Amino acid sequence: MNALLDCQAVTKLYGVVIGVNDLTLTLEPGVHGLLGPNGAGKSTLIKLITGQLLPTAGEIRVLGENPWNNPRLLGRIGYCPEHDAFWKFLTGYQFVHTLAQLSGLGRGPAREATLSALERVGALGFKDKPMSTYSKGMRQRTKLAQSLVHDPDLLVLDEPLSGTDPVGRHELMDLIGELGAEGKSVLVSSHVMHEVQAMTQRFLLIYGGRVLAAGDVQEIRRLLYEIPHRIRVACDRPGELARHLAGGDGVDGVQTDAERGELWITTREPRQLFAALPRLAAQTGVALRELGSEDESLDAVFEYLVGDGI
Amino acid sequence: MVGGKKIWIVALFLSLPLLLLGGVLASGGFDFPEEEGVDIEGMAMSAFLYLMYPQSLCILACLLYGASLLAGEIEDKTLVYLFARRMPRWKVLLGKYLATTAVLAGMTLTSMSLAYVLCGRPMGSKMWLAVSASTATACFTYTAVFCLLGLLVPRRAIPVGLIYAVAVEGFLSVVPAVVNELTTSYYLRSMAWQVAGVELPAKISEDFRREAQPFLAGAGGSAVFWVPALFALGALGVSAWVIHRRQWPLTEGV
Repeated sequence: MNALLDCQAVTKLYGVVIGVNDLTLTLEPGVHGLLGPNGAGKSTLIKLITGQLLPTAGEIRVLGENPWNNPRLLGRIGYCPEHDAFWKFLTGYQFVHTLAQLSGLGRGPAREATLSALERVGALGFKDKPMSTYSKGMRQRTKLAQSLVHDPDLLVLDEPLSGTDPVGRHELMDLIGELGAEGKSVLVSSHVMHEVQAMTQRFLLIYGGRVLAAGDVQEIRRLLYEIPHRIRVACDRPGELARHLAGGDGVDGVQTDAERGELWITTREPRQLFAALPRLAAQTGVALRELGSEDESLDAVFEYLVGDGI
Repeated sequence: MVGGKKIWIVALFLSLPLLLLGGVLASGGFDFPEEEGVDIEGMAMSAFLYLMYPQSLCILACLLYGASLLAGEIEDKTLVYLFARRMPRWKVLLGKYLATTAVLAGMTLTSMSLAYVLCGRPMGSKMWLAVSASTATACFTYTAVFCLLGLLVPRRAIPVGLIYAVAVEGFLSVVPAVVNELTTSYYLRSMAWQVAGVELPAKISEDFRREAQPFLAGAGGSAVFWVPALFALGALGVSAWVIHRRQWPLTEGV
């Protein structure tokens, strides 16, 4: 099976501005999150994937083919752009139906596919209203429907949850999860990490036009083994526990918050520490209430990766 | 996508001659001098129809639509929906071009036909056919030319198009020798003249044929049809090449 995305030393320059910088990566089929702050290069990478731009250097292949001026490949890709553009005089139904026909569906199949796609994204209820009267969330759903309407193998969704209400956001996240479960490949970009984390555990972190890391949270953690974890311990006597931990093997630092009954341990060997903490608590008679690591969240990983550069 | 505000602007343009003619008729109609053997009114009304439609309103309507045929989609950021599909880019261009010209030709021919009736059907059905042929050809040719212009100078397409309309299709089209043969207007005039089969009074016919016709409407035979078609195809071909090669700022952001 062809890789979903194969980039070999891809660079894209806009004059002297770097969009993507010497990017080499391979993604296998599945649902992937593309994460990075604004200006990180996410949109450039998406434009390269959807054949809107040609790399300045390097080679990009999507589903085994070069996407530039490749209508056959584009027929296998569903693209939901970030920007809020549409033909104002069309209804949602007309918008999706027109684009279904442009994807090669005949009038009848396009009608069926349009209704199905609109239903799937929860946009059937307002399909006959002009898009100029839509809220941002309604437009997002309709844009998502046009990307689904031709049943593509790969969905490229650029900030698809932007502007949606909490309920709609949840529904769309579920939908993207369902699409992944059905075997579709999805590349979804966002700068809101918990959203992506709710849809997939596989992601790319991109910053300054470079991929900082690719994989799931644990893989990235493994790659970044030398970066210390912070472990939170809630207990009845944090000071007592801190005294026993300070200077111990694998412990880089200890910080207590007596008021909240918490202890923050910085360590490069979190697994060993997690194993050792109950023993230590038993020896010292400290009652542990809760153990946790903030580093399992994407936000923490991303902060480690880009430091103060965000 | 042939819709939006532009269609109302074009409809307004095309209603102007009808309002003008309606106003004149309501205030007593035309009063042309009479001369035996010369249909002065018919000639004047035919000239009015020709100057109003293929020579002016068609150019403006085609400029408005042609210049934004794809440039408008770029500006509105809707081009991405068309180009990120299974449809090759040249087919998108051709589809938009044909849809646009069909609508423009339909609107201008309707307006022209109404104006022809209001003018009292000057010089018979041949004149209607002549102005219709020129009007339809003008729509197809100018839309293609202005589409190319819109792709080459997207931000200044309207002013550059107006300069083109005045300088090339206005001024250069009446410059003798080879220069006028490079303009669409020259062939449209020749087409109208040929299809109408106008019989000029003997006393001016010879002078016209000798001095005016060669640079006003000198093209003959099938050239009046295939040269404008060639201009349109050439402009469309170059446009297709441009959109095939160019990377568009389809969406914003890095």
